[in-house]
Amino acid sequence: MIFVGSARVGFWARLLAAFSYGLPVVLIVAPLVSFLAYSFFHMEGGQIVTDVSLVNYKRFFTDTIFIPILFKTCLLCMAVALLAVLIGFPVAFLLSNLKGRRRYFMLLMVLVPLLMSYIIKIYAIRSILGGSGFLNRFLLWTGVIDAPLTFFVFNLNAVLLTLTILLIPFAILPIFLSLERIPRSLLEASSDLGASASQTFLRIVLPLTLPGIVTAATFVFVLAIGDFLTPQMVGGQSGFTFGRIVYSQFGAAFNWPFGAALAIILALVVIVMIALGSRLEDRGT
Amino acid sequence: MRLPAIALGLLWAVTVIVFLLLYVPLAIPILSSFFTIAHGEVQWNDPSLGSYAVLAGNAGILEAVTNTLIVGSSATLLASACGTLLALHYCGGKSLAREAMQFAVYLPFLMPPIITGLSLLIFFRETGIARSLLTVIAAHTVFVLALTYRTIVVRLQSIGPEMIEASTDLGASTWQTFIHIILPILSSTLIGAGVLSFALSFDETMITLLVTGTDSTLPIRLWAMMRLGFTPDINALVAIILALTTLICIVAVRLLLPAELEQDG
Amino acid sequence: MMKTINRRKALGLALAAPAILSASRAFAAKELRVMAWQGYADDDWVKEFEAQTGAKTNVVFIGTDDEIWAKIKGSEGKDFDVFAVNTAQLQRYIDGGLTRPHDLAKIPNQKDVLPRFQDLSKVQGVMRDGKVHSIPFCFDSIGIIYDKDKVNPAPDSFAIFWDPKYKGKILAYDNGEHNFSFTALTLGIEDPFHLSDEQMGQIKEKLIALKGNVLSFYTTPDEALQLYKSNDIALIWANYGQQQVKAMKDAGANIAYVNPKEGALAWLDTWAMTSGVQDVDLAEAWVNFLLQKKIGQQLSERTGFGNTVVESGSAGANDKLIWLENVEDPTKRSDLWNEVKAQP
Repeated sequence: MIFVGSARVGFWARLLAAFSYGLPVVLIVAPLVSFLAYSFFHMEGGQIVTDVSLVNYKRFFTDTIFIPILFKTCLLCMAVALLAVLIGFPVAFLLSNLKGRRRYFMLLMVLVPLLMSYIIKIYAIRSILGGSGFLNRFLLWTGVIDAPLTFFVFNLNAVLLTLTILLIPFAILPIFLSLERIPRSLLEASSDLGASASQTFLRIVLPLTLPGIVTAATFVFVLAIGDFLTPQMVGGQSGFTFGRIVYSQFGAAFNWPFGAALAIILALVVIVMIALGSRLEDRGT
Repeated sequence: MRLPAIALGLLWAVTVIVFLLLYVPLAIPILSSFFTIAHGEVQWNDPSLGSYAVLAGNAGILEAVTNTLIVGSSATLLASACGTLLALHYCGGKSLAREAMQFAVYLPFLMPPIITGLSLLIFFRETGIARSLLTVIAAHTVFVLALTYRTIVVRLQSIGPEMIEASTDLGASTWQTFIHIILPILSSTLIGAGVLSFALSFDETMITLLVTGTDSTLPIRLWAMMRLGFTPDINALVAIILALTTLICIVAVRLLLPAELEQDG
Repeated sequence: MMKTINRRKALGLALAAPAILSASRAFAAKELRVMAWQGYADDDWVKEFEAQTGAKTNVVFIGTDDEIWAKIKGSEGKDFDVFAVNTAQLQRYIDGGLTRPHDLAKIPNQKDVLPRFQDLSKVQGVMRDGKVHSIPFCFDSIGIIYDKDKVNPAPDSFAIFWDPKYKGKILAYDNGEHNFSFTALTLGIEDPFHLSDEQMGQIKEKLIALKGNVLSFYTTPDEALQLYKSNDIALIWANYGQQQVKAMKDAGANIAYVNPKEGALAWLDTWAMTSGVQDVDLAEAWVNFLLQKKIGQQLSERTGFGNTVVESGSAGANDKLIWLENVEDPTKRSDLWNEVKAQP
């Protein structure tokens, strides 16, 4: 788009094209795609057999455990994305309405927890949510409850809450950026024409931030669905997610071809989700 | 926007809760760095800086932190540069090849990290590239490229062709258009994407574990501690990282932003 | 004249000395690449080893068995010289040609290990076709934790988990493989790792009975601790051995640990050399170095696990330990276990 005149088809444009195709091919297509080609092979007696077949994919559809877990995992991650966006939007909105330097300082303070190691945060959250953890003891002490809550102990609710806490900053930033880009003149024009704050919000702000919201939800969804550590640490018996199944194919199960097939299926699901999200975005604007 | 007081109050309430959710989990390791926790109770009467002393002497952890910073900044810079170039090419026209390129760029981010990491390890092995911090940087760049690329493409697409046309009509060359028109518009996007990329790289465990040689990053060291538990100097490290990043934020905002800003509302 | 020549010679030598020294160091510059669990290659041990051998030692710490496999298989054994691996996992590395057998002549300290580890042909898993593929280093057993106030006298058999006297006061571990194995031992089955279908059926019934007697199944050590603290628990199946014992004692529990007479399941971590090892003598020297009594002592003190040279809390000299092996059919055990859990 930036190339002008003769430069358009000239040396630099061609160089850019060569780089744009060359880089992904060397560092992504060659390693990743060749590994994913494994999904058409299968294991026999501990060795990879290179006869092309769809046996891995067949197994995914015919074995009764995989599809329900994939479904459950997708629901969980959509819930996380929804929750993160619902909670993150008010924060981003408030931040974008702050004056001066405070706005960016607060934004950075939202992002700072991302640099605290993820593993440490999970341990901390787990000890807070536990039966004799900080949260329960606080609620007992203030008299809100009489006996420790097990609502958040080693189950999917714990996974949901933990993932949301971990990923909220990833939701806040894209929404903030899209709120920022709304021209002030637009908002002024709206109030000049007599619109109330809520009308301006619903008719102008919300639709214009939809791309940011979709981006935020997508990021959180992708990050959540790829996470296998959180379900393992706080999920207890019911915290078995699709990510853990994929991960286990590379360990004791030693079935790289099957793992590759599962990863492709997961990626396809995510791509479909993202495409749906873009459709929502287009419909909104 | 002028907001009614109730709305403002509610927004502040939610924001305070979110900040609590984000920071309370950090309070535990930070408190532990100053006090010992025995039988699940904090021993308030026995503060000490012992864990900080241990941290200062732990060359292995400090080296891991340095490696993490090196990898993070390198990968962020590389991914920003590559992301910009690829985005420019993508927005320069429509073709099946471009769509395929975009799909390839997204792939490493969408794949479970163990697959991205393993495929790169096998690739490096087959091509004889020795595993080292450089391979980690390459792997991280590929991983966060999807993020920088996507945010830049979205931003570029929101720039109407009119600006570019106006610029070239006025006689600017390709390079001038890029430097004076496009780059400034991209600046906030680049910074935002850069910060997120750095954060992702800083915490990245699985891919790093697979493609590194004998160098460790902080996440790898912490991951290995899961079996026996975190040593006390780790709590000190968390406290220091928090203090330093907060300080950097204050300084950055002070220095880089003018006191009076154009603002909404 | 003589003085000048001597001084010139001396100066020449002085200038050349660093070059000569560094050249000789370049020839002697050795490097050892170690992959280990946290606690198996502590900084002070590494420093001492480096000082002794003059070799640079790089240690990479891993967190799960899967990573070890991914990194070693992914690099076809070329990225590391020695790695720590448990005997059950070791088999797949031997199968894949990723290990290099040890030469016991280069590991003299192996002669002074505890009686249990003296005859390596009796240590299940470390030998294949008469060759020693790995050297035992660290272990822990899976025994019984009991509350001293609630259980008197001390238990000596897993059978106590089925004792109706303690109904609802027992915590068991949520893992099909181990549960089948230890129940097999309780039923007197010789080989708990290779069960026939008939035996599996028997064990499944016994496990359903167990389920009726326990309060809950736990997955992580702190889950067990939390359940113990908020409920009336008398017995725990200690999957995490000494680690669990220590955590509970630190939390103030009045508990003790015992290995049952029919044999406790136990894991054994060992040192293996990769097929891509660069300096065999150096690798053997590393293993030999870690088999010193003082290192073993420190290993147990710092991690709580058992070592192979000095007695420790994980097992008494006469305790019967059954080293974990790969089971005949993990999927089947897992499915049957899910069926047990699904029983009303």
